[in-house]
Amino acid sequence: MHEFIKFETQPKYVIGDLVKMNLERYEFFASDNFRRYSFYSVGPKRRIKKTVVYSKVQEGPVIYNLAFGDEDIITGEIDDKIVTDNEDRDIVLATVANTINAFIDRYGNHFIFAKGSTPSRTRLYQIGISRLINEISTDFDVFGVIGDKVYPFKTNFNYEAFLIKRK
Amino acid sequence: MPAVKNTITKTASSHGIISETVKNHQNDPFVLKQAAAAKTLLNRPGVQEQLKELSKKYEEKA
Repeated sequence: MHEFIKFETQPKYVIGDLVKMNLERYEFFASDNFRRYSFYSVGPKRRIKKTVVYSKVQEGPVIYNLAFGDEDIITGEIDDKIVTDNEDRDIVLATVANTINAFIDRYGNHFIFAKGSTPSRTRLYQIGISRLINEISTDFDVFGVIGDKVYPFKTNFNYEAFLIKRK
Repeated sequence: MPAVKNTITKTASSHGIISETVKNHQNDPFVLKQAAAAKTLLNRPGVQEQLKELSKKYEEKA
């Protein structure tokens, strides 16, 4: 049984009608400027706060980086190196994908860049995307970067990073 | 468990969280480091060229 935690009131974000993905996800909360999103992964072991932050990394074409990881509830710092194993990987990934929709609704349909902080973390992203690609691709075009080339995402390829664009 | 379209099947409130204030700060060291890594990779010449082409295609489509 989790302890009761009372936070300050803030409206929850409601996903718009454009979302076609048919995936189970967590409810998430957005910051005032809709650049930072948090949700709780709840598994058999514990509850973990997950946070997604979007920051602009270039103009022409505009690209936003998606930083994602576990947030320390005390310090507010994010870390993606922690292995939480909460048995909800697909739900977490679907929730992150939904934050992309929420972000794009506010900031426009720009490219979103995602890369793990280590090659093994990027590989985990790749495995997750591969597992859900049929659902994800109803809303998004996904690309993978290898060397100095950008390819349409395919399963069984090892990419260095990913680019996502809403259809 | 079957997925349900556009439905939140895991709510925060069901775990005792009524609502949450999400901090705005963009200067988290992790976020800055990730953004720097993104810039480095995106600055590869071939990647920039392809992104410009892709961007054009999306603009034409729109």
